[in-house]
Amino acid sequence: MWEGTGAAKESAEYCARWGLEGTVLLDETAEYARRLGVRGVPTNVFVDDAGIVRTLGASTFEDLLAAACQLEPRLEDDSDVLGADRMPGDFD
Amino acid sequence: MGRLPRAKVDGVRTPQPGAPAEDPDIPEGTACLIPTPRASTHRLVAEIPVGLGPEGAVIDAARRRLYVTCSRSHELTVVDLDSLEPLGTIAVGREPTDVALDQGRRRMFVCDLLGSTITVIDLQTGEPVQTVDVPGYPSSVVFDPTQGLVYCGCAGGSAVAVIDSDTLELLETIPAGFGAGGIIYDDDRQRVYCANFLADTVTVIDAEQRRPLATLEVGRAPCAMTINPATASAYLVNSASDTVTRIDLDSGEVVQEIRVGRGPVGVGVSADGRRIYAGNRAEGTISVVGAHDHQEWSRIPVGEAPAGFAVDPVTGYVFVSNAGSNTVSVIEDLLTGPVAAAEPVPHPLVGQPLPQFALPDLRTESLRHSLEWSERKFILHFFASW
Repeated sequence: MWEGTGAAKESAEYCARWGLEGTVLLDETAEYARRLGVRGVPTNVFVDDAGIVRTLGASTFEDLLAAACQLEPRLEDDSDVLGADRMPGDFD
Repeated sequence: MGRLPRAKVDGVRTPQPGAPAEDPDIPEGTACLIPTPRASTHRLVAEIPVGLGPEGAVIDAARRRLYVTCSRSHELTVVDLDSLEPLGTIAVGREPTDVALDQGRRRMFVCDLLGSTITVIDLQTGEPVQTVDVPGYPSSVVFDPTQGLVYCGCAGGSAVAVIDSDTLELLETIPAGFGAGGIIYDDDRQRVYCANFLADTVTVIDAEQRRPLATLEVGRAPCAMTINPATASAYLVNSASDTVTRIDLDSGEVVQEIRVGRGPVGVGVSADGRRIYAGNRAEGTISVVGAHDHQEWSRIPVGEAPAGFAVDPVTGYVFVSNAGSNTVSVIEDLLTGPVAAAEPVPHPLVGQPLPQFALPDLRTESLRHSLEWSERKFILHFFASW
């Protein structure tokens, strides 16, 4: 999700610079971000399969992992994913 | 210098300390001072509109000016420190992120992240006089008054560029770490410290010899740095650890890591050296940390995605650039010690249905509706656009 003026151009440049793939949605007016109460970046919104928000925030590796495990409990049993030596970049 | 529209009034003006109750120089309906009840922690003095994506800020106290780099409108906004009104803009290179002053030569140095240049501005005329090419992605700049040098952290070259403030020539580049960026200069010990965003380290440089001395391990994704002479310490925000690292300048060693808010990218120090400020970009707050007890005293809400800091030594006001809301918050810090932290409250949206959206897709340009993701678990990631 990319918010703000010039979202298409800026997000395209950003994705090219960092080699990011995947869906990027453009929130040109930042109206949707404000509707969610997003006050800054990075902010992650974890949504379950019933469409309910489970976590909003989570910017550190530890917080992300905790939020992911809450959303998908099977991750807690996955030692490969949760191994102590793994770093955020390893998930790419 | 370009002109900016004056700020709109959202309420009644609050008289400033030492100012007359009625200021005839501020026409009715254009002042930007926001009345705020005098709280025990702080007072929001004003919210100043600036250019797009404000990041770095510097104060020229003698001339009563604040300069703010506006990364998305490729300019500086100039603000009058007494009236707290924007005066105009100065065009610079692509995506300016930081600025430093050389008072003696009456020059200002702006690093242009995407331009890979330093724009040099004449303080007298307010006009750019020259650009200096540096290695890629220069994001932070600092001035060394003893040697008349400018140091700039350049992520692309993993290096610190050294520029002569007299001749405006690039003298050399000093090796730093991967993602070199946030930079400070310790005049008492002739040391430069450069935060390496992608290496989670800080490179310590001998400024006289212009060579690296040491590498310090710090938190994740270190960004901005500042110096507090009152405690002989340097402070560094770790944006992916939600912490501030304190470095003892005498020993040159990391001595502390202090928890702050989410996604800190900016850091500043109060005029009296008793408090450190961290700009928590991911939550729209600043953390106030005691410089002697090293505790987070309080967290103050500001605009969206706060970034850079500047402190006016005359009024003590703290200026925070809000990259998301295109404003500068002016804060009067009233804290005298730690304030009991409120119980953490979950975000009001947690446990609620996600509001539906229909937004264009960058790659296909088609409208994507949230219903496409129904009955699936997913993460919406608001990334580093502000």
